[in-house]
Amino acid sequence: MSPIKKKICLLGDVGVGKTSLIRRFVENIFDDSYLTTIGVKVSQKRISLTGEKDVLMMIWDVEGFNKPGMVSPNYFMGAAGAMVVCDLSRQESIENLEPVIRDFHRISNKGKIVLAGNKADLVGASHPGRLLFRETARQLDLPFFETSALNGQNVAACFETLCRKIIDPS
Amino acid sequence: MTDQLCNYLLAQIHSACALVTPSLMLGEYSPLFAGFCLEEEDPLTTPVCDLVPEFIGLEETFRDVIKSGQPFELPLINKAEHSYHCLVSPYDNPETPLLITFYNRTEFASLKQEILQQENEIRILKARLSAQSRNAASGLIGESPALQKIKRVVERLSDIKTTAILLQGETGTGKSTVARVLHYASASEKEPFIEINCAALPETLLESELFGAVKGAYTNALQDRTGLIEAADGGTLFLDEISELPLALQAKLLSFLETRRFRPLGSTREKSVDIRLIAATNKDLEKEVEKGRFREDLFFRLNIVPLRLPPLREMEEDVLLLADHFIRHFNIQFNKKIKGLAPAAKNKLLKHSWPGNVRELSNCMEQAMIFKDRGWLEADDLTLRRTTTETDFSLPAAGLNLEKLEKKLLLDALKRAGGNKTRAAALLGLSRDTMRYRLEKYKID
Repeated sequence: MSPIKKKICLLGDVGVGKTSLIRRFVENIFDDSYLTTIGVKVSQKRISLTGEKDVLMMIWDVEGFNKPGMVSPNYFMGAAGAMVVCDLSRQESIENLEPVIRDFHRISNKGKIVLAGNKADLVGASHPGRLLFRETARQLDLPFFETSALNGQNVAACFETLCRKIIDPS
Repeated sequence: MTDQLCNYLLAQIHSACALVTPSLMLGEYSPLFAGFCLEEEDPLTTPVCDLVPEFIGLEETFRDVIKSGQPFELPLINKAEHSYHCLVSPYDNPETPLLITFYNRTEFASLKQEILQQENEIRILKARLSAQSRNAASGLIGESPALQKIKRVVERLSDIKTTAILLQGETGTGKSTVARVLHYASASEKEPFIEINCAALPETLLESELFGAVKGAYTNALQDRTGLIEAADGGTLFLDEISELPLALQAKLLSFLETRRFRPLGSTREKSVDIRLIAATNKDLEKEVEKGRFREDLFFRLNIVPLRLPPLREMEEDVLLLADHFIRHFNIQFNKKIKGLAPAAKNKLLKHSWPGNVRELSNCMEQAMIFKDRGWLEADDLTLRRTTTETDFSLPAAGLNLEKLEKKLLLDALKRAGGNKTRAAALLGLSRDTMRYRLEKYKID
């Protein structure tokens, strides 16, 4: 049976680990060298959700937001959802979650969102970045995951939650 | 012929194009366009928005292009080692009213990548440094009760700027790190943190270094010189090895601490500054006072908030956490891919007594990682300083009191084990019963 095809975008500041999260989820590999993404790269992953039709996710790795308005909003067109990513060790990237979500919703106002606080392996349990991320997620009333592309923590859960939200909006 | 030429030209520049019908099915397309389509789909029977991964979800957008006549573009798409500019534009033909072009822009993308790579790396590092400053207290690695206590004091002190703080601890326990943490816990990154080692400079130089000097104050004073106290205005002055401060300068420092005013060398005018003073020493300052080498009044002035930094051997549970931290740190610094410590390496670290404290552990990990690029650090990779063991002990020439020594060892073991008799017994290689017998023998409760 052919799967449902859905487009999702990974958005967030530069260097928060969007590409690494995708590589961990799609290929189950991690490489700690940093190569900044220019433009977009689309990866695919088929997800089987229990009781649902399979979903072929078109995962858009969108270049990082380094200045407001620098990322073409056309990349968000047609997206059913977005994973908005921040780096738990960089407060600035957590503070930028909200403007990034606003930019995305301007183009895709019904798009579903989950938040990923990445690089959880770099911060301790009571690190202020972790606390700020949780607080921000609660204020925005969005599902959130503290992820690590390095060790795979919560990576699949984060993608699957987004997928489920897209398929079953209720 | 025209189509052939067109396809040839497109292939030459590694670009592709396609014409699309009003029902968003592919009409004609150049050979390279097939490379943009999902392999499992048939280009002739699948709508273009199900066929090309980058077009999934864009049905409405494509219909808008036909309707409004306004083109739609995706500025840079990376696909299989190449980068493309994708343009979906109206085409003046009712049967195929859409033209899709993937125009090769790999060269442009490489240049942009090169420029942005450096820009972004700097941006990330700056942000991380700034975050590190703001989250300084979390920079103290460890979960031992001793470290938790230090963290609590640091948090408590973060709102009080003017208090003098005295850090005492063996060499290598991280006094300088804690001083920085105390500074960054309360200061913004623009406020200065000035550090000086009092043992590193001769008395004459130390005075001008600390308090500054005006032109002509001494033979080589050719111009006014700002002292470190003034340079630290608004921030923190960290005086390391304060016990080495000469007595004359101790008096001058005391006067400054009491009034927050000072006079640069050779000047008649007083200056006033707002600084937090953190002093540190690896000596017992009270004993230095008793011996007359340190002013008692200055000791009391500095000792308002004393903070004792425990030696690493008292924070056993933190050794592995710190070692992991250093592995992460040196992985980044040396561009290595060390996964962590093998079990035997962990045991080796836990058995060592760390006379050089955290500095010794840091040096040990650094040395190990210089010689290894990837994989796990094994016990043999770790070179530890040889420390005195029971078998190295030799009887002093003057002899000793065995009972006194035994009692001292029992007390030391209990102290290090936080009063836990089982752990204290393990430290001395005794059974719990033997330990209990010996404690009773020396009436140690």
